[in-house]
This record gives sequence, structure tokens and C-alpha cells, in this order.
Amino acid sequence: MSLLKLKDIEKVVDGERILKGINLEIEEGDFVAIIGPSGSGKSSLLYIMGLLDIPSSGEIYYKGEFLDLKNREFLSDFRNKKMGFVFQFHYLIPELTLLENVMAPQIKKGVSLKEAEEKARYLLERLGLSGKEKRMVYEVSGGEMQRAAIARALANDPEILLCDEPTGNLDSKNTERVMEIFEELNREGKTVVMVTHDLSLSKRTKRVIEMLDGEIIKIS
Amino acid sequence: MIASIFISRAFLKKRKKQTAVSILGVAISVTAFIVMSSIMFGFQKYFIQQIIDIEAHLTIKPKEEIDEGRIIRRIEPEALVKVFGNKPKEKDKILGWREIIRRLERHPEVIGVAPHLESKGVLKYGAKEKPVSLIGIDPKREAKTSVIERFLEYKNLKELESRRDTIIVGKVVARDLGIKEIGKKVVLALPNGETKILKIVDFFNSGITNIDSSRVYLPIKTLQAFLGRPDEVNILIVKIKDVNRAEALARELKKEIRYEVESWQRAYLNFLKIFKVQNMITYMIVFAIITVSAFGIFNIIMMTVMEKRKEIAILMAMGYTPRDITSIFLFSGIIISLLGGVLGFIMAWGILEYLSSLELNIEGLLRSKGFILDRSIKYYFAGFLLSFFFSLLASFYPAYKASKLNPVEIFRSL
Repeated sequence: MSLLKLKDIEKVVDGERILKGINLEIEEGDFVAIIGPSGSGKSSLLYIMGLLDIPSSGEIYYKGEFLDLKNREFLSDFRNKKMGFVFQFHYLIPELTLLENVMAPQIKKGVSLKEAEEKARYLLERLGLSGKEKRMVYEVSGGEMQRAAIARALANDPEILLCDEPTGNLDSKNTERVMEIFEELNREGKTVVMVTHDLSLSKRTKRVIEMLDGEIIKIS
Repeated sequence: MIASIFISRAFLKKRKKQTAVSILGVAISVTAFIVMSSIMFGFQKYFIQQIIDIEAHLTIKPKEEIDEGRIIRRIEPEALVKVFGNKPKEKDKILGWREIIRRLERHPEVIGVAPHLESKGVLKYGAKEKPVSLIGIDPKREAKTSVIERFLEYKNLKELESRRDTIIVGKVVARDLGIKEIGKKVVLALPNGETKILKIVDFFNSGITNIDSSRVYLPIKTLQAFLGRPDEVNILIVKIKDVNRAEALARELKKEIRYEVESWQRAYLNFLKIFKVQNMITYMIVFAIITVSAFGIFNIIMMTVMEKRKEIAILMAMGYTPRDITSIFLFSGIIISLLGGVLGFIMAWGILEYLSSLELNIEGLLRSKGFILDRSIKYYFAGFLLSFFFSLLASFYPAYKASKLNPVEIFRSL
């Protein structure tokens, strides 16, 4: 049974079909790269997979269960518990320390402050940010920010990690480090879906989905 | 909820200056409410309490003659004549007043009844003169129906019983005549042209200027003799158990007695009306202050929402629900109003402490040595609740707007 199944997904924005008849299954433990030129619908597809955006038509199943896409509260709760997002820019909350940023999704889940802090410290340490827990976002480098963002995405131990150009803003050294983290997480059983325009990165994933003009043109 | 407070606190901390200004705004509005309420109600309650203590709860007096039939009279089929007033036909006295007193004293709600003979006169001391209201009283009965003795500086009410040529004068009357101590003799000019010499045995000081500047008390028998109206009484004052029942009781007694029965509320209706207007004006001012502070909160939260669109989108991506997003910004308003409320309490308490310590000679409707304050805790609660409600109202719209943001649109625009 697939982890995530998209059936006949269409997305229309201002009269324009930006996603056309998407049918896609993501298996548990998969590592998928979504590639394609700008405007091909990669990010739109990722947002729909992550339940951040609602398709104009079509259905989404998670482990075979139909998801009620009209219930925003349910979708938010589902996203909090099952999914982790990593964006091109770190998008950490600047008012919070790195530690607090990683604690935020856990507190939303209902984890106690103490447990959330312990887990956040563990994740930051695992991603090489030990000793920088109390730093504010602007006090660390771009690579460190992105690793903190990955730690935040992992905070609630999600089943699927959705990444939108996660290395798009990093130098080659940090890109390599982030990719190694994703590979390691995938080896541990995490499902990773990554939107990228960097073909060299897509070669390191298990599957590649090619998109053009809102359609999947090839899955390899 | 903890998640919303966690984020809300961080957003507010980032905008320390604006948050501090908003907190101060709330504090000022809470302070204004508490201080103004304390001063206003302190004054009004004191005034009403003094009135209830000094004045009769019910006054029985001859009816004013308004002969409607004589004001406009048809003298010809097509001619009307308008009469501008008419001479009183009925004498200014209560007939059978002893029987009325006996009947009233049997009423379960009545504590006591006392007869008065009231008239006008001019009090002279040396070259100074002062028009006064003469009130002839029976000191024994008077003590039962009012707390007159409480307002006497030397507690010499009994002197009116033992000596006929005695008088108690209002404190302001004495001051205006230049009399500083008791024992002085004054000349009383009566409406019939006679003059009498009386000895001041006490000063009456209620604190209400209107009363203290016009009243003098003398034995009823003395005044009856001076005016040539033996055994006549023109007012009966009644003290009742529940002052709030005065108006209802007045209506009830009117049916039994052929004289006018007036409650203290009706007698002081004009003052009570003025108090109502005064309260309205005060609360309009306070309302304006609270509205300004609410706009301050609205402003800071709306600005935060506009500036934090990206963070709101991230929180939504993390799984924060629209309700959580609303809560984050509502909590901002709540935190501001709570901190502002506490600061307002402290500021109000400090100001009231200061005002109560001031020694001022205030002379207007009331005379006092300082501010008369009602420092009831209920004004603190009311001020806080009002400010809290307005803060919540001010936070609601920006909070609602924040929850309606579309994270995908925000991510695309970045």
C-alpha cells in the first residue's frame, strides 16, 4: 500500500490549470525528486501533497485512507503529526531561538515543554548544531539555518519529509551536507519528496518525477 | 493553547516598544476609569448619604395650591382669561398633626416622626446680616428621626430643650456672619417684623454647603411663639427603615393622608438628575480613552499580522490550525490587556493614595478637607473587565484576518 496517493489532481488558479490530471503514488521509504523547469507545477504539486493547498478536483489518500480536504483543522493537525516541511529558505521564526524553533511544532502537537526541549536538543545535536541551541536565527550561518529548519521538520518524527528546493540557497559544501542528511534519514526509513531543479541531486534519489506544464511527463 | 501563548509571547517580545506603548495605553484607560469612578461615586455617595442622614426620608407638608380651573377661565362663550397665579387660600399648616404622628408611628416601616415649623428670617450679628431658613424642632423627637446630633460640633442639642432662647446655626451661616465660637448672641428678624435675641449653642456642619449656609434650628415652641402660631406645625419629617422604599412608601401614604408626601429622592430629584448626567459625561470620556487604547492594540496586532505573514505561513505549514493562528493574536491582545490592567491597578491605587492624602479646602456642593473617594474594589474589576473586553474586541479582527491567510499564496510571493 502506498503512503501517499494522488488521484486525478487538478489545480486551477485564476482560470489557468497549473496541475493537470496528476496521478501519483509515493511509497513508504521512497526518496523522490520532482524536477522540471520553472512554472512546471513542481512546488504546486508539493504543496498539495503536503495538504497546504487544496486541489480544485481530485482525491488524496494516505495509507489508503481518503483525506477530507475540506476540513482545514483536520488537515493542519494531520500535517503537524505526519509531515515535515523544508523550504528553499530556512523560514525559521526570527523571534525564536534555534531551540524554540524546533520546539514549536512539538508544542503544537501537545508535547510538554520539557520533552519538546529534550527532543529539540537531540535533533540539533544530530544535525551538528550542538552548542547553538540558544542562538537566535540571525546569529548562525545559512547552512546552519537550513539544518535547523530540517531539525524543525523532523521534530514530530514525521512519516514523510516534503522539501521545496532545500539546497537552492546553499553553497556546494552545505548542499552536500544537507543531501547526506536526507539520504541518512531515508536509509532510516523516512519517506523524502524533494522538489529540485538540480539534476545532479535528483540522481541521488530513488525515483525522479519529471514535470512540464502542470503534467507528469515521466517517472523514472 | 500553550502553543499559541508560546508564539504570541515571542511576537510581542520582538516589538517591545510598541507593546510597551499599548500596555501603557490600557493602563491609562484602566486608571482613568478607576480614579474617575472613585472620585465621582465617592462624591455622589457621600452627598446622598448626608442627605439621607440629615434630611427626612419622607416629608409631609401642605399641598401646593394649583387651582387649574382658575388659571384659564372661560368668561364668555368666545373669551378666555388667563390668571397669572393666585393667592394661597389654605393656611400653611398641618391640621391634626399629633394624630398623624401617632398613626405613622404605628406603621411597621416607620422609625420615627418629628414635627417642624419652618419659616424664613434674617439673622444679624453686628453689622452683618444673613437670610436663613428657620426650623423649629422638638429636640427629643428630632433625635429619633434624623442624625442631626452627628453633625453638631459640640453635641449640644439638649440645650434647645432646656432654654427657649437658644439657636443652632449652620456652619457657613456662622462663618458668613463672622461667628467663630458658640455662646454669641444674635438677632433674629422674623417675617412679622419682630426681632428676637438668641444665644448660639452649637454649629451645624453637614458638609453640604446648601444646607449649612441657610439653616438654623431653634426650639419649636420658641418659633411658634415668635411667629404667633401656637401649636402650629407645617412639616412632619419621617424616618423609615429602608431608605430605598421612600418613594413607594410616599405613594402609599399619599392615599391615607390629605397632605403632600414627598420622598427624599423626589426632593433631591434635580441633584440625582445632575449626577446621572455627570456619570454619563464621565463615562463618555472614559469610553473615549478606552477606545483610543483599543485602537493602539488593534494597530500593533494588525501591524504584526502584516509583518508576520511569512511566519504565519510557516506556522500553518507546521500544522498550526487557523484557530491556533487566531489564538496567537488574541493572546497578544489578552497579554497586553492583562499587563495593562495590572499596571492600571497600580497607577490607580497610587493616584488614589495621593488624592486621599491631599488636604484641600474644597467648597462647592459639598465642603470637605480633601477628595471624598469611594475606593471600592468593584471599580478595579469593572475597569479591568471593560478594558479587557475592548482589548479582545480590538484584537479579534486582526487575529481573524491572520487565520484567513493562505500559506501557499504567501510562499509564492516570497
